[in-house]
Parts: sequence; structure tokens; C-alpha cells
Amino acid sequence: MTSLSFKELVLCHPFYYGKIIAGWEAAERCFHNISFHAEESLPNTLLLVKSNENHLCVLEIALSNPQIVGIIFYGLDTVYLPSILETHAKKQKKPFFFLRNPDGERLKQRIDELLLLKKQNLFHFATKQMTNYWLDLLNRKDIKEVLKRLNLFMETEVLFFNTQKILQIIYPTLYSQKDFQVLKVIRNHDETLPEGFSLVTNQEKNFYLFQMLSPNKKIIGYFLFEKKSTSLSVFEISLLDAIVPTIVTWVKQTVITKSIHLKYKDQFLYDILNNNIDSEQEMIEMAKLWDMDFLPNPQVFAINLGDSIPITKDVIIRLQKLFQADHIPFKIYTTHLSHRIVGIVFPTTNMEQAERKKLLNDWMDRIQKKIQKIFPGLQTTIGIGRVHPSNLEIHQSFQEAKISLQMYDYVPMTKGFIHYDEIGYVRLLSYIHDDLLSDFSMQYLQELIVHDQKNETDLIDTLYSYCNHNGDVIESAQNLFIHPNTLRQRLKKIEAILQMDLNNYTNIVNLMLALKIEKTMNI
Amino acid sequence: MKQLGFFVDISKCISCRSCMYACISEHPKEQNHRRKMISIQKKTQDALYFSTSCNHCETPACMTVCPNHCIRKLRNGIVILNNQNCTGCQKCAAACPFDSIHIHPKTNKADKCDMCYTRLKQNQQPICVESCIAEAISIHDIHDVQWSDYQAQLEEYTMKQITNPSTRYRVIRSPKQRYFQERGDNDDKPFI
Repeated sequence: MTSLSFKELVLCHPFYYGKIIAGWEAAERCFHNISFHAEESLPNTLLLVKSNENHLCVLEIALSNPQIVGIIFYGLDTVYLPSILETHAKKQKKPFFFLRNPDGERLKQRIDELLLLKKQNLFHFATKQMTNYWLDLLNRKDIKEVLKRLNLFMETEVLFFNTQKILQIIYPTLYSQKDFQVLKVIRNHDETLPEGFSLVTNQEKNFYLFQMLSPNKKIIGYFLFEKKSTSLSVFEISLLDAIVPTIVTWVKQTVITKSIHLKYKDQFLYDILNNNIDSEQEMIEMAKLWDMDFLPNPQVFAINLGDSIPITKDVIIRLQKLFQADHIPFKIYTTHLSHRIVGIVFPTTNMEQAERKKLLNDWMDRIQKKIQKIFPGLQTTIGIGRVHPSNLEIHQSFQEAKISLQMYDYVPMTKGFIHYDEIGYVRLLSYIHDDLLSDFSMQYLQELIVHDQKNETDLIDTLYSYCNHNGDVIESAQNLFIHPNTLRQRLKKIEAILQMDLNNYTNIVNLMLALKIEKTMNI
Repeated sequence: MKQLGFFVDISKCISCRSCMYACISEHPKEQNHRRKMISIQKKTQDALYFSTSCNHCETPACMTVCPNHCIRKLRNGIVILNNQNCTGCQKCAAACPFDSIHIHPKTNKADKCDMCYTRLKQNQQPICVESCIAEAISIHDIHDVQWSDYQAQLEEYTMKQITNPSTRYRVIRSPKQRYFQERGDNDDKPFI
């Protein structure tokens, strides 16, 4: 005689919608008769009880009747059931569940169909609809409900790991990532596992690991659940196979949501960098939405990405990940604006200005070396704004970082990054109109330029080198590949032409400004 | 990110000042100098005329120096000055390399072009763009390659680039047309 277990029954429509009330530990029990009468005398009977005014008495009788192995309580509305009935069902080891369905005859007809399919070895056709059930549950509720239901059917906690093998905490669980730091595959075991399954251990317990593949054979995640004393059952395998499309859908939805989320995060960072947030409190509260912690004394850096390689979205994402990877006492949040990557730096500990600058410089150096390694042709320059006490002044630090980038070419630097406070007077000169600058420069240097052109001398370069080497005759002479006495002679000549004393600081400042304009500002 | 900017076709500008007067009419309370005419006279070439206003820079110098956070840059790139909290310190006016910010003589508050962003929100063009009879002014995203023939600098007119102004210019230089009178019987009569 063909019989069906309760575990097999819940794999089929509409029984997977049933709410399990009690007794699921005995879900392996089988039935082959169906009845509407609690006094039924046929053995291994499944009782169908309609929700009405007498149902409590019927249930009491049914739970005491040894011929009845399980109960399906059906009706339109959920009703209150005293807990003593649940305890009784558990004690009697009778699966007892509720189904929102008004038609008992249709239910009986359906169970008869399932028994017939089982008899004819066609039961697997009935279980195919379970995929739809999981998808429907994901749409109606959420992934948490899906996994809770899965745990209920599997009678064990099923953990979900993403493709990076990181445990996803979707519902409260006693497990954490620490419990699965090392998982070893058990190769010598007696059990024959179906495709996609393997047996692993974390040195404390043994687990089944189920690898989920999307329709195009890409791994989308893993399920891990504890191995019980018995081997893997057909029921468990069917359940997990049926849930894979739902997990694929959920993972895809999560990826899309994250990318949209990220877009809004970029807009939020744009608003901060351009003074579009009204108050610090509003800024901090909005930052919490993206798990960002805005601490005092922020600072901004901006990285110009050269055009030596095409800057694709993938390149930007990889570069942004580089900033998160290093272990430094800063929190850094980055975004991509136009042709730059902009980062806001928050120190996580109290530190002196000098110490902070040194740490940041070392880190910038490391980052540039990493970028060179990963993208060999990519030339980057980094501009760093000043530290400001308030988060509302982040936009000022951002503007300073951009100005630093622009001034990079005018300030002699050996490293690939420049701080705003290192730019000096060039920053002021940049705001003045070119004609005014040119006029100033000519006022001081025109005679020297004319002399150089007429007599093929290098007085401008000599003076420039002398100023750049802080008035050190020996170093300047070495730089110019001349004897120091030759340099002294040239300086005397310059003084005679310009009618200026080069020991006078005011004259030196004026000359340095004029030389800076003439030599480096491309006017 | 988007960056809107004024695109000025200098060859079309006839210096009628319609844009200037339309701007004054649109914002009468500000007694404004938001838009002004510039003429560039070169010895060997014809004079060039065009109007300028705030350049809605990528790195606005005014935004950095304002102590009361009155100036902000919107997501479409427009730089807005909300003078509600303005104390008239004039730092923004001094910092602007283009003299685009002015202080109201009576209220002592700063004011500058805002690209008529309230009109933009209603899907209308800024008043200067709408009023230009020669269609010499328009607004576009500076990153749009369709308008790449407009330049940030002209040979005749250079601007400080430190703040990355977003205004773009174009001038189409056509050869001079010359008219000659042929010698004939009417030599003593003036050429008409």
C-alpha cells in the first residue's frame, strides 16, 4: 500500500503553505488513509479537521486516537488553539498543521492524487511546484521568512554564505564567522553525496556544504547545515534544490539594490563636498544610513587620474577598494567625481598634527605604489586639503585639495602628492590676472631678459637657481655646473643691471615672485 | 556629475544688452550687476562683444571663503548664493577672480547670478538665454561632447583657470568683406 510522509506532503501544493503548529519532529511518519472523522479506525490515517464550533472536541479525540498519525486543520481564518493541544500533539508525535483553505474535499482529492503519483513513481512532478512556493514566499515576505521556513522543514539551522564565503547574518543565530574560520573537507566518508554537496568540518562539528549555482553555472552562494546522525535524505535534497532559484533571485535583487544604494551614497557625498548640507546633525544622521561615522577633524584628498589608461567603472571600483584595504588609524569614505577619486579622511584616534601628516604621507606613498603595481601606466597626483575642526567645513578641505592638484605643477615636489599648506605664495598668484602678473614680472626681469638675449648669457637661470637654493652659492654653482666665483661674478652683474642689492630681503622676495611667474606659471 | 555652464557664441553677439536688461528686470530688488557686457578691442581685428556673469566654477573661490556657508554648489553644477545669513563681509566678492559678486549698497548683502535656477526648475531657460535676440547665449552640460567646439579660453580673452570656470566661448572668424568702386564716369560723385 502506498504511503506518504508528512515531509513529502509539505513539498507539494498547497500543503507547503501550511502553518506547522506542533509535532513536526515526527514528520517522517507516513499515512495512507485520509478521513474526516476523528473516531476513524483504519490505521495510519491522516485526519482533516474543519475549523468550526466543534473543532476543539474533534481535535482532542483525534490526538488520543492511535490510528490517526497526523492532523490537517483547515479553514479560512486562523483560530486560537490552546497550547495544551500543541503539547499533546508533540507528546503523541503527531504532525499537526493549519492550512488556509475552506474546501476539505478538494484537499482530500489532492492528497489522493499525490498518493497515486507516488504509487506510479511520478511523485517528483508534484514536488516541482515547490520552487514557485519559495519564490512566492520571497515576494510576499522576505528572505528572512524564506530561511526560517527552510530551517523549520529541515529541522536544523541552515546558514547562508556568500561567494566570498562570508556568513550572512539574515536572522539571529548563535553562529558567527569565527566558528567557520577554517573548514576542512572530509574526503574519506561512507556516504554517497549528490552533486553540489560536500561534507566539511570546523574541527568541532561536521556539516553539509551545499554549493548553489545560477542557471549560467556561476556560484551564487553556499548553504551550510549540521550533519545529523542519519545521512542526507531525499526530502532534504529536494528542498534545497527547490530553493536555489529563490536564492538566485534574492542575490540578484541585493546586487541591484546595493548599486542603487551606492548611487545615493555618492550623491550624499557630493552634497557634503559642495556645502549642500545645512547642519552637522543632519549630516551625521544621514551618514548613519550608509554606516558612515563622521568624526571630528576631517580632511579631504583628491586624486587626479591621468588619461594614460581608459578609466572604466571597474578601474574606479578597484581603486576605491584600495583605500579601504590598508590598516591605518583613519576612516576613509571615497567617491568618484568627474575625473577624480575624492576621499574624506577621519582620524579614529587623537593625534598630533605632525604625526597625522606623517601617517597620511606614508599611506599616500603606499597607495601610489600599489596603484602603480596594479595599473602600471596610470599616473596619479594627489592633492590634500587642510584639516578642519567641523564636518561642515569638509567642502573647504575639498576645494583646497582641488587647488593643490592644480598647483602641483608650479611647486617643485619629489613625491606624487601635495598638501595645501605646502603650496605657498603660488596659491595667491594664481588668483591674479595674467596681464597683471606679466606686468609685475617684466618690471623686475625685463632688463635681465634683454641682456640675456643680446649677450647670450644665463643671468635669469643663474638668479633662479640662486633663489631656489636659498642663497647658497656653492649649491647653486653646482646646480649650474659653474665655479662659485663665476656665480659670484654673475650675481654682481645682476645687481648692477637691476640696481638692486641681493642681500636685501624685500628685493629677493620681489625677484622670487617675478621669477616664479616667469619660469613656472606659463604666462 | 553634471556641470551646467553658459555657452557664449561671440560671433553672434551684437551688444544689444538685451540679456543685461532682462536680468535686471527679472531681479529688480537686487539692483543688480549680475550680467555685464565686455568688449575686447584689438588693433588688427574687429571688436568682440559678449556678456558675462558668474562662471559657476568647479572650484568656486567664493564658496571656500564664505564664513556663513551662504554659497553652495548644486548637483547640476550651479553655484548658488543664499544671502539670508550674509553679513556683508565681502570676502566672496574679493575672492572671486571674475568680479561676479557684488554687494547691495543698501542691504549690504552679496548677490550674484544663479543661472535663474528657479526658472530651470520650471523647465524654462534663464532669462538672459531667453531674451537674447541673436541666440548667442545658451546653457549646456560642459561634459557634453556635442558642444566641444566651445572653448574655456579664447585667443583674445583669457580667464583665470584656477577656479575652473564653466563658461565656454566660441568665435567664428569670417574673412572681411570689402567693397570697391570701379573707376568710371561718376568719379566726382561720392560712392553710395
